[in-house]
Amino acid sequence: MIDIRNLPELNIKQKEFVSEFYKLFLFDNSLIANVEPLLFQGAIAASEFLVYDVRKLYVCLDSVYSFDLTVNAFNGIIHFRNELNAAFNYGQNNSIDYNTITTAINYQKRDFRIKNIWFSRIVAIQYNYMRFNGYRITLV
Amino acid sequence: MTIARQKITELPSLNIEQKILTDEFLKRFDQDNGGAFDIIGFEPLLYEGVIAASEFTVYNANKLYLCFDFLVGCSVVAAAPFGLVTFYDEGNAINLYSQNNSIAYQAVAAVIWYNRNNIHIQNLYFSRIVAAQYDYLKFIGYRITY
Repeated sequence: MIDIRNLPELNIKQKEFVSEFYKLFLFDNSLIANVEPLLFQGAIAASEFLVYDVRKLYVCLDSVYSFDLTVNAFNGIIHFRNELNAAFNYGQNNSIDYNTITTAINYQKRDFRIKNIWFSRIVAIQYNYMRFNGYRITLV
Repeated sequence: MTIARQKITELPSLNIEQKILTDEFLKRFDQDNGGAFDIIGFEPLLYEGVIAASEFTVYNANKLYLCFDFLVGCSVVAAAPFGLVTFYDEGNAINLYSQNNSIAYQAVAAVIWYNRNNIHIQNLYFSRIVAAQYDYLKFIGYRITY
């Protein structure tokens, strides 16, 4: 089993920030059953990232969330859930304008990128595609 | 404080920005480096969670944060108050502001509405923050006590 605190990135000089992230990610390695490198590029809908599992976590080195929608009345937002399935951070990158016909705020969603974060699952509103680069952690 | 300086300088392969931050931080605050304080604690810190009632909102004259990566987010949609994070220095004086709002004129309410996008900032130090409208924080860095 891979020790999360001794992943190959630790030895790559250019990845010093990643190594700091791992060092600070103070998991008790005895609780980890498996660590799998994971690259995902595709639709968020029906992907594994939406599904909460009490024994699954993602250590995310880099992720981008995007969409193919036009401007509309909904803001784009990503909810990040922790190991207990509780929201612990949100990501959004909208510009807004006032629609005088519908008298509503219109949101133009731009790509949202976040690096060095961990989560159990996400909830994606308006965003429908993502790229994930990191690890899937399975707990004992 | 020798142990603190050793720990910070033993961090593996700091990049240029992190090295400038840590070197200047030690010059200013580590008395063994000519700084003002006797550093007694140097704790790695990863925090992801709510800002309210967290340690980052509390000023302590013997505490500083050396921050490599900082991100705040919020769950709310556009509304009248604007999002703002205020950083305070070792004397509890403001030394930095940060915001990332998008705005629109809301004709019915006849006010500006703000949509608060994430604020992402790297390589700074602070004693505490005040977060207006932002609810959640990711912090990667060190808690320094002296």
